Amino acid sequence: MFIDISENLRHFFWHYSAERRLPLYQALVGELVNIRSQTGTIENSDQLNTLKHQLKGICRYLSLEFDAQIEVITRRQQLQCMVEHIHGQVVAIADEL
Amino acid sequence: MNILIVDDQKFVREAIKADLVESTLEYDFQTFEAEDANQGMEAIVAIDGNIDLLILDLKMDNSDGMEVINFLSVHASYADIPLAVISSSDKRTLGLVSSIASSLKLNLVGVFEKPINMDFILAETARLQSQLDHKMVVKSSESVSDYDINQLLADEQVLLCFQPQVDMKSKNIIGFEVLARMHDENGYIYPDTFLPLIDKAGLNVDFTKIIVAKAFKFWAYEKALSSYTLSINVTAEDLSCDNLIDYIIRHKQAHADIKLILELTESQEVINQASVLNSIARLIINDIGISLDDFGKSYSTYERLDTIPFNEIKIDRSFVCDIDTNEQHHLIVESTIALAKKMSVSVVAEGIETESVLNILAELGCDIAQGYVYSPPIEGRYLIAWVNRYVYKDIAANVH
Repeated sequence: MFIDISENLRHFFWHYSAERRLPLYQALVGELVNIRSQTGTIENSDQLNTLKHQLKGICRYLSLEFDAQIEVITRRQQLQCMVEHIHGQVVAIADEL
Repeated sequence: MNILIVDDQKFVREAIKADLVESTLEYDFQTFEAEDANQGMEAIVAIDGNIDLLILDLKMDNSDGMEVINFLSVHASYADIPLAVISSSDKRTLGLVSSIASSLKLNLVGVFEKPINMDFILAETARLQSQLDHKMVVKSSESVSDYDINQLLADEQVLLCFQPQVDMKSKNIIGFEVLARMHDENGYIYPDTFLPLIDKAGLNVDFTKIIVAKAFKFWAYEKALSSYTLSINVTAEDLSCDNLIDYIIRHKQAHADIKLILELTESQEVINQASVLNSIARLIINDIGISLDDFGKSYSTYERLDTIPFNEIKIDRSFVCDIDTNEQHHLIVESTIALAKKMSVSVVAEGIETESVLNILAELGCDIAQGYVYSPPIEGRYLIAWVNRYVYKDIAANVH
């Protein structure tokens, strides 16, 4: 699951002009932080599925083929790990944008 | 070109806006944004429907795109707004939504998996606009019965029983089907007596509401049952009633931990009406499972299977009860299970009364068993005791 996605991220952002990258980056980070935060308060499978669906949408935009990995997530800790992994790599390329 | 983007994820909205700016097609864009269905509908009204493209997410936090689709369909002045539905949902759900939007005579550009190709959508929108004719849209009617149901369906006269559904491999309880009984001073009144009376009085939807309310109340109260699915029968007529669908969804949202499955019964052609498909889509989006009941009984069975993304099918009891002696029924059940496997949906066999039938179903790969071989329908007040006895193998040990 924990593969290097930095090339996917660069490809996604560099597809857009320089002035569009920052709002996109901020929205992406905000979205990931929001999902991570909500993951901590998950109380049932419906809430978990809602966050999985949101993460799936983001991953698809980033051309990350994570549908299968997200599908098999059954516990909030698994989801949290995945979100943190993606968030960490997004933050890591901030200086390049 | 006015473009309204309705999506609960800011990142997705930003990506779409960026795609619009980067588009190779030369338009002057003005974008509007909404983060849920209500905001989306408000925005449509606020700009007086002056929208050249509506990009609508299907599944949003606290709302769903079907609400906006319904809104467009009942307001003739908005029905011509070019609509692009986007989602990360599976292809079958997207296909269903496409069927609904077409049935509702909306100006559908398409239903697209995320991430979307903005250039393609813009080109397709331009093509459709050039050939658009104004269409007549039939306003939906509001037909909720105003009958006073108190006398016929007073709470104390309706009793819920629950029949267990058992995983055929693990022998664990999967869930329970709700079966309603009415009663008076002489004892139980069975469905074959009271359902025709309710139908004749036009109280089907009210009756279903009572069942839903009582079943949810019971399941929410008995925490020990929360891990089991709760299956409730609905008819195609029920699914035509928006008010009932809202009612069911509200209950589900208030009790998100309850695993609700609606078993679609009866063999009516109305299943393919836009309103029914619309309701099914809304239920699925709200994490309510759909089971196709009485499978094989109706001439339209396969049509339904093709149209609707069911989670499970229930083989009609008339085919199941004698598969140990009826070769024809054995073949029908065998091929139905094989079909279900290929479609990756669960198969429930109901009406199992003997171990002989149970063993054959196990050999055929049936997933879930329901019938007197495990238990007749159990009155709610005895259900926990039955579950405890079953879990401690007093009952399961006798059925192998």
